[in-house]
Amino acid sequence: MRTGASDLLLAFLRRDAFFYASYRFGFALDLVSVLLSTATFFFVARLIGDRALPSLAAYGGDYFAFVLIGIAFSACQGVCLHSFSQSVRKEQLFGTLESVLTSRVSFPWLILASSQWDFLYAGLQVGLYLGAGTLFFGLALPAANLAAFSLVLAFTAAAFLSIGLASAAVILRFRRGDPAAWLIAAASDLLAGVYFPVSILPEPLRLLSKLVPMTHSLEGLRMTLLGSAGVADVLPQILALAAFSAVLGPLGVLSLRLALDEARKNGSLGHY
Amino acid sequence: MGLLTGPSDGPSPLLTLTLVSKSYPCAGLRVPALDRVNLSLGSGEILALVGPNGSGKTTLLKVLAGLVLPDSGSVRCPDEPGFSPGEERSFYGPLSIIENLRFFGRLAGLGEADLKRRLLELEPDLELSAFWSLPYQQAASGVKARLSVARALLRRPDLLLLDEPTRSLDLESSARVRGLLKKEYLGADGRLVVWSTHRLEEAWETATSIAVLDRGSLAGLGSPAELQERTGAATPAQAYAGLHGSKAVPREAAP
Repeated sequence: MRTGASDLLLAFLRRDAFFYASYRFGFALDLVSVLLSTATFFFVARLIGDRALPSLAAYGGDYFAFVLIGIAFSACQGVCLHSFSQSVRKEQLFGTLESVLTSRVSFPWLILASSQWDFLYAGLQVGLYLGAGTLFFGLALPAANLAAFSLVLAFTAAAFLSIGLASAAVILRFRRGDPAAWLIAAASDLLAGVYFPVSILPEPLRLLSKLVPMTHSLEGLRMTLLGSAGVADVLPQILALAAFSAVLGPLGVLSLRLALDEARKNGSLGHY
Repeated sequence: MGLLTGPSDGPSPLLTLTLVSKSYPCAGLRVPALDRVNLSLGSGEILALVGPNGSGKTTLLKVLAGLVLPDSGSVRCPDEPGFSPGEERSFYGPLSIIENLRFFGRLAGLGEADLKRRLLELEPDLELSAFWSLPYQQAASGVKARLSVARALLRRPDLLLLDEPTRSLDLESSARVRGLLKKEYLGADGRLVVWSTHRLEEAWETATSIAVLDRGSLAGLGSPAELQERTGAATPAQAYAGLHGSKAVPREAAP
């Protein structure tokens, strides 16, 4: 009667589908929000016209395509950063954390399975941004290298989920928001090139931007989607993301283990 | 006070606590919750934990469930116990009763067919099927309490831990739940129940052993008959008061 991994994932997916079904209005709001921001940046791009061309040459020269990929994957980054911690918080608020942990589910599995709905939803959001851009605003990605894109995306997820583990540890320990994850998300808007290329930043900020994982992620994603870059072209970005994962992954696992031990020592697993 | 040993000091007890102590941090101090508790129980036993609020019953159950780490001492008990927590807030409020059972059943390794079979077995005593489609957050306390017992029993765990499972139940429902515990665990090979309650008459009627906890220490331990004999008491309430060392008798037990 041991629970298989697929059974476990399906159980959480089914649970979250029921939650979602009770708040379908949220999906309608998200859809409208995606359409509005896509339209907004379409007109901003028209305003800018060809003036941004020199800075965007590496990405095909189209500001609309550049910024749409920036905002779509920036939203995706937010999910990767916060989904683990929000999963823990959800169990704390429902009061189900102890019950789940006494039903044969290890803590890492709990947060992974409990976050999968968020990951699927984040993928859907990216699809909505790119779909809306293509259907209504003439976005075209004819030169996209999907294999290289997928590789960059996988390394991006690994880097951000590593930070997400540490963020979940903070929630488990303090039951409050994680300032580090918040800072990374906020810094990404300025430094990672979500709305404009990093190359226009002053030198000190450009150097600082190298310390933000999203900078390497967006660079690689844009190069593969807009510039037809192959795996060899985005190797520096992949290696940078791998380095973030190699450092932050073990730290995230360790901090989560320490937070869980601390909660069991303090008897605070059931607190909210 | 905390060094009493259980009645099942046989050669191979199923559950053993050795000098288990636990304290919690509070305002820079450590508040003791368990103080050098020794306990030894064998197969087929039903142990009732009784004692006033704050005496360590819930902490003891959570130590056995692996949810709380003791400061010192050792714990040996069957893995993966079934646990019914004392709080109502341990299910997903927006989900229906049956969806909650499906979710936790799947986590316990039960497929749909196994789950249905098990729920049918439990139905005569827990009577949940009439509420299956009801969102958990709209269910009455008694239904929530029976659901919590059902979840703990889904996969027939070797060790069943129940924190005040009959607190919200009327007398008839409580009798059925206790009957279910006896049916599934009393004398069963390789299985046992640890159950906390404030209802002394129920504990005396159901348990094979009673542990009286007082400020984290074991103030008394033995079969109901032994405890009454030891204290010379005519009623469970008198035995409890004699062991507990105070006149404070749980309200439910007051004559």
